[in-house]
Amino acid sequence: MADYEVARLAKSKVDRRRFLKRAGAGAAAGLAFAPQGVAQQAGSVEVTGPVKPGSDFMLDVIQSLGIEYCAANPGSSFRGLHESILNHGGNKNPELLTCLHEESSAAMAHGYAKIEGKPMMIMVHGTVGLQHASMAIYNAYCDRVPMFIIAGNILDANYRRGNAEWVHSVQDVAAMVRDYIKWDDNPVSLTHFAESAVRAYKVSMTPPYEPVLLVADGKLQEEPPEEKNLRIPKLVMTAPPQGDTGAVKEAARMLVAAENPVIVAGRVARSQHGIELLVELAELLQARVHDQRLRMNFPTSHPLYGNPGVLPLNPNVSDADALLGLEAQDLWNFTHKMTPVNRFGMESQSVMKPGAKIITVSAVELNHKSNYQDFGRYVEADLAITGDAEATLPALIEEVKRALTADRKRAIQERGKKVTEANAQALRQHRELAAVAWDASPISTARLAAEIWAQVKNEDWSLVSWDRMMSSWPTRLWNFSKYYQFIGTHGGSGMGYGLPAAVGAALANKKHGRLTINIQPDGDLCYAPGVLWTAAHHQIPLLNIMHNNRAYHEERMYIALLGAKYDRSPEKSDIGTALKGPNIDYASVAKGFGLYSEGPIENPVDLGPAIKRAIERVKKGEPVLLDVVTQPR
Amino acid sequence: MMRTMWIVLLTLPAMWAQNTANGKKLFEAKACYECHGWRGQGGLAGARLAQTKLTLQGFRNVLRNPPPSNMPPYRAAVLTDQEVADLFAYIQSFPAPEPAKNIPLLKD
Ligand SMILES: Cc1ncc(C[n+]2csc(CCOP(=O)(O)OP(=O)(O)O)c2C)c(N)n1
Repeated sequence: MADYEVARLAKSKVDRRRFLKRAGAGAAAGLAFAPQGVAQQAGSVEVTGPVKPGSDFMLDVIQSLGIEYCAANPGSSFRGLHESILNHGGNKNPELLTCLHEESSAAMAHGYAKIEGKPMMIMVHGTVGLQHASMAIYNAYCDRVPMFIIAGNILDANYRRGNAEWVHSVQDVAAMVRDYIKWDDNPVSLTHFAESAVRAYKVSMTPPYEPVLLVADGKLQEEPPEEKNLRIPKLVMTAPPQGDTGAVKEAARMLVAAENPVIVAGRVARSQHGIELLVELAELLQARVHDQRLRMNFPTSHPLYGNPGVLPLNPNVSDADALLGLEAQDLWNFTHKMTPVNRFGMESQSVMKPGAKIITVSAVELNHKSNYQDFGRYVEADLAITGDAEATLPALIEEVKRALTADRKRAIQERGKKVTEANAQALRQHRELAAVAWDASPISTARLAAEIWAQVKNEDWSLVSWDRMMSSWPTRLWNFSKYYQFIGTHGGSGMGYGLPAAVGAALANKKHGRLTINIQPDGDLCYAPGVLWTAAHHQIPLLNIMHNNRAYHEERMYIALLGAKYDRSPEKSDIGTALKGPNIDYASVAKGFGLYSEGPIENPVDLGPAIKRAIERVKKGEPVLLDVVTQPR
Repeated sequence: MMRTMWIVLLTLPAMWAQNTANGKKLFEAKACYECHGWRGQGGLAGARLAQTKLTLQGFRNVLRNPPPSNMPPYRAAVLTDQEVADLFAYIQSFPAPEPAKNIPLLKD
């Protein structure tokens, strides 16, 4: 820390000389305080000695946290840190990623964290940068994803040099996103910054993982440190919260006693170990698992995988006499039926058997907020355990083992067989359904999924896009088993997540040499397509294959539906929802941003060879884009 | 019985030529393709229509009074009985798919 000490001494010398000069100038002009012009002149006093800016120390703190990347669209409110990253840090750990929109920075961090299991840093520019980033931060919050946000700001009014710095400064930076981050601070000294940065990282990485925000004050960044004995506190990670021992024992007793326990998995597995634990529990209980596919929780080819019923959307759990929700999202919707959209009014009723028990395990309850409603409807659980599911599973497994008698084991084997048979039958059915419209143009989403699978199944692949928009064909036809092979979805349903999150996930996959696949809807791409350039610029290998149905199709269906419901012909449902006239030429868009691209591909026969060519390019380290014109769903 | 079947089979193509063309237009205009796909293949948003086992009567019943779902009711103000028949004719014209076992990518 000697450098900071030298800097502090140098700074005090400068301050003294500046003060004397200012006082002299003021006296000459007959003023108690120097007018601005003089002060500016005074500010140009030469600095001597090996002075370093405070932002160097801030960067040292950030580097101590092991952050690999920092995504940012440049802004003067954090120019000090920006410059320190390049010249003090050698643009390594973190390395700067040039982003063309702050929403892209945050969504990239979102995708990255789900693969890498730790936060990326983003820097946002005062008021406007954070405003741009806010939707993507909200998505990450709803998706329980860590993110380390640094917002530049100038708190001291006396330090704002002109209008731009006034309009980009704010009294309470985090206020606009405080409802959907876990913690924030506005440090007023470097010591304060160091302590809060370490705390922020720790808070972000304690389940439930969430974004955190730290303000980097302009004056603190750009002036030499004034403080003595600057030091970086030691980072000690918190052990994840585990469910209460007694409650876990009771849960095991209920599950073992049940005739038909069913598991609903939301965001359970953070790692391969998490998947293995869930498999172990399911096998012990011979319970089927409904994976909400918000993470890769359970292997899709496992005999107990309960999701072949992706049709209908809400799986039927009415046969369960014990339902275990593990970090489940909106579990209430699994256990209830509501008046559907083609009826009027709203009534809801439970679909559960009388006397069926509901058990929940979740860490999210430790971090409920009021304003945003991501917590979903209140679940009337019989046993609610507050604790992280992955951390609680080992204890639950042990208790289940203890509670299982030989008799129970025999009874349990039978129900497992039924699920296995249902699974095999569902798979056959999926394949027959996939054959319908096999040769159609626009290309069917089943064909698209099957063609991609044929080319990637022997690679170490990672699908980083959601597949509901394409009738979940990858989930139905591919074989998912590793934690990085599926990363769920946007969390807050904020569109525009898909493309940048895929780029962030691909960046995390890069060092592991995995083939990253993004099946990219057209509407989502159009929110902030500039991230394609970021992928090209930073040589992030990524196979983008478009599901281009030339519409905001989800919304088009709603318009048609509401019209017909009121006896109005759905003929106009294209207006405001279709993306045609002119068609958007995504291959040209991608080319313009520096990517190899092909398309529009309309004939299904052309698809396989195009994917093959694209994979060759990706393997050389490039992002590519294939524009494929597809059926709506 | 045989006789009626022959008559139906002989007259069908002529009826279809006319009806399927209008049915095809309606399939787009009335937004059927949006949830059921351009070939009636279905998906998460809508049921499969291709190779439907419904009769015309059954098809009309479902349209007029769909089961509780996202499928809106299509009453006569939106689709006349004649239009329903045209639509049905078009849906019946969708080619039968190959069995999955004959498609290499769907084999394993
Ligand atoms: C920021 C934002 N704006 C609008 C919406 C509403 N919305 C939900 S789905 C959707 C359509 C997205 O289009 P695309 O990504 O092409 O998917 P498609 O439905 O066509 O498959 C829109 C606009 C949203 N969820 N988020």
